[in-house]
Amino acid sequence: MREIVDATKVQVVVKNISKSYRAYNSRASVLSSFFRRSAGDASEEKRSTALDDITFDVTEGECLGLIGRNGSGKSTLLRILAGIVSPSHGAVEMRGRISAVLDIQSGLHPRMTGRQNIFLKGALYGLRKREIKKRLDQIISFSGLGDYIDHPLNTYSTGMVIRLGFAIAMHMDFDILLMDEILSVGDIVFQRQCLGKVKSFMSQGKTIIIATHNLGDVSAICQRVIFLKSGRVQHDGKTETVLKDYWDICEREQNKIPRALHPFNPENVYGTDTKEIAIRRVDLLDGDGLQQDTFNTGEAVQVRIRFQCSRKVANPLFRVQFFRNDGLWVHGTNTSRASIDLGELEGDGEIILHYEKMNLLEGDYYITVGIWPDEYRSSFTDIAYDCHQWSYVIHMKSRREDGGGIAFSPFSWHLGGK
Amino acid sequence: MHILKELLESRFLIWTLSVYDFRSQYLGSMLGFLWAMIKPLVMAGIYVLIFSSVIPPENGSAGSTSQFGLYVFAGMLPWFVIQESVQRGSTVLLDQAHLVRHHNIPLHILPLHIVISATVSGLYAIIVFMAVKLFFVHEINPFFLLIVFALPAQILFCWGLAMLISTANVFIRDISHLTMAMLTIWFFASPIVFAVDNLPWYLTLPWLNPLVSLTAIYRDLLLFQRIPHLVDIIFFSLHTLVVLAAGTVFYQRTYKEVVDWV
Repeated sequence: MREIVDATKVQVVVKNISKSYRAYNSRASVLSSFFRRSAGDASEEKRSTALDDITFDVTEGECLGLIGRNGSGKSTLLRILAGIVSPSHGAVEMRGRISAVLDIQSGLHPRMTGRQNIFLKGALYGLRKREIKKRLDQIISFSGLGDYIDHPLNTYSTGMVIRLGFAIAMHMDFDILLMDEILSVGDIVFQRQCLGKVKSFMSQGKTIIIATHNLGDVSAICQRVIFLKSGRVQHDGKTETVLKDYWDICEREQNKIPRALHPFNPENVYGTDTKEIAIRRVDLLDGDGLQQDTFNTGEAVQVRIRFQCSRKVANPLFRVQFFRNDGLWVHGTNTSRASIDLGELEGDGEIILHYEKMNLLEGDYYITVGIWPDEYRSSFTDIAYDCHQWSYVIHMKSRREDGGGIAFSPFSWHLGGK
Repeated sequence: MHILKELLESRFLIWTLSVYDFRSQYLGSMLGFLWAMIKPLVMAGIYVLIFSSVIPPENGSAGSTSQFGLYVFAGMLPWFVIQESVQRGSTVLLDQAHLVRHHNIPLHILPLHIVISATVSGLYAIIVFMAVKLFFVHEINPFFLLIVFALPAQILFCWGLAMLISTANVFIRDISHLTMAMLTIWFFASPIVFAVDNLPWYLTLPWLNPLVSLTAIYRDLLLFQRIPHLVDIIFFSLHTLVVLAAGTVFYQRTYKEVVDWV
């Protein structure tokens, strides 16, 4: 595979790297394990994986974006490329001088002046004194700090410190630039200035690897993007393709209700329920009457409510409501709205709410089921026979082309003349 | 050898970190660097007061009170440096975690910069000592300048110790607390506030306690103004080599994991 790419132009080679951390509680055994390592029995302890078998190349002059949710391994990967963290397995080869801008504020000394900090931070980036002196004026003018450069850092505003840190970072000598989530700092004007600086590096043919959550930055400067998911390369390719994939996955995740939030023991939050009728069981069924918890948008959904009357009840009101995970009331209906007279109920029974097409879009929704004496009392006095608030969850799946949001309506696009 | 190359390459960084560390201690105070002289004077003064008036010294090599005072002060000069190096050095990798996590720098320079900063403080203490000595003895000859030849060995000794303890402390955090306790024991088990003749023989063995030789070297050069004994020079050099070897070997086996633990 190596033969296909022109070897002289490949600048970063990442081969099968993995990184795992020892579990925190194994701290005590660490020291002894350093001396056991040669024997090779370190594999038994508990480890958590941050990166899993990552392989990619970056050629000279390429601008690569790293995207992924928090904790997906972007920063760990950058720190391995920078030579700060050692991979547990695999190898990294960096051909050229590296400048790693992982945190522009770290290392700055709050009690020293801006000018003194330029020397300190420059030294931390590996520069010698005369190299820093040569750049001093450029850095000061880029930072826009003016006379403040000779004031101690603890008199600066947050924005000024960031500007100084960025100005120093942008004036280092490098062939490969690594940046971790630092473009979107400072005010708009400074952000433009920074983006301009990065673009000028690109036109100079520098290699840039940048990890960020700002997809706008990524699409503005990167030709190629690697999407990391739980420490693995989920997608590596051209910016548009990978961003589309990433966006799609993020959208799906955003409407999810975490398992831990499913209230599995339904409880009536209205303390005054009278229990003449109690909900025994609520099930979600598909069009064929089979129990399901996941449905595709547009499919039939049936909500079956089994109840039990302890004495005769005249025409109670059954209500079903859907809520998004943030509490937005998405849809609801009840038997009174539908002008249904249920007559007098007694003993055990069941009632089914049948949706021919469930047009909720991708996501998890809470369902509230309640039995009330009548519509007026339910809205004003909160007295229910029984009510299971936010007690059931329906998982919806939809296709990307159905659109985004919560509601699906069949649609088509038509381009017309003027 | 790898470490030597790193030291050479990052000499400007080491110097900047050391100077900034030293300067920032006194930044903003009115007396500034004067504090670097007042602190050792007060420390030495307290011990002299306690051990000369409260617990009068027996006749020995110490002699009169002013002589005994100078004797104690001279012995404390290397102790100030060792104590500060070890105390602040033991936690330096955790204190400077932001540097460890975000910058590709050789980690052994972090304990080193504390040692250099402490050595600079030590130089101020030496100046104060010479001033006090001039006040009591009314004579001074340039012999004391030979102390600069002892300092490199002292720096290497402290660095080895700080490297060992700071790295180990990353993995087992109890070590810095243990170190504090050990320092106190070490201080009172050394010929610093006691005359050598008053200590039990097993505490004056130069191969057991490096401070036996180091305090002797300081006293010979600064107080008695004579060439130190060859025995002391050899023993302290050996201690330095052993501590430095232990520090670097341990550091090299563990430094790759340090960043995962800070």
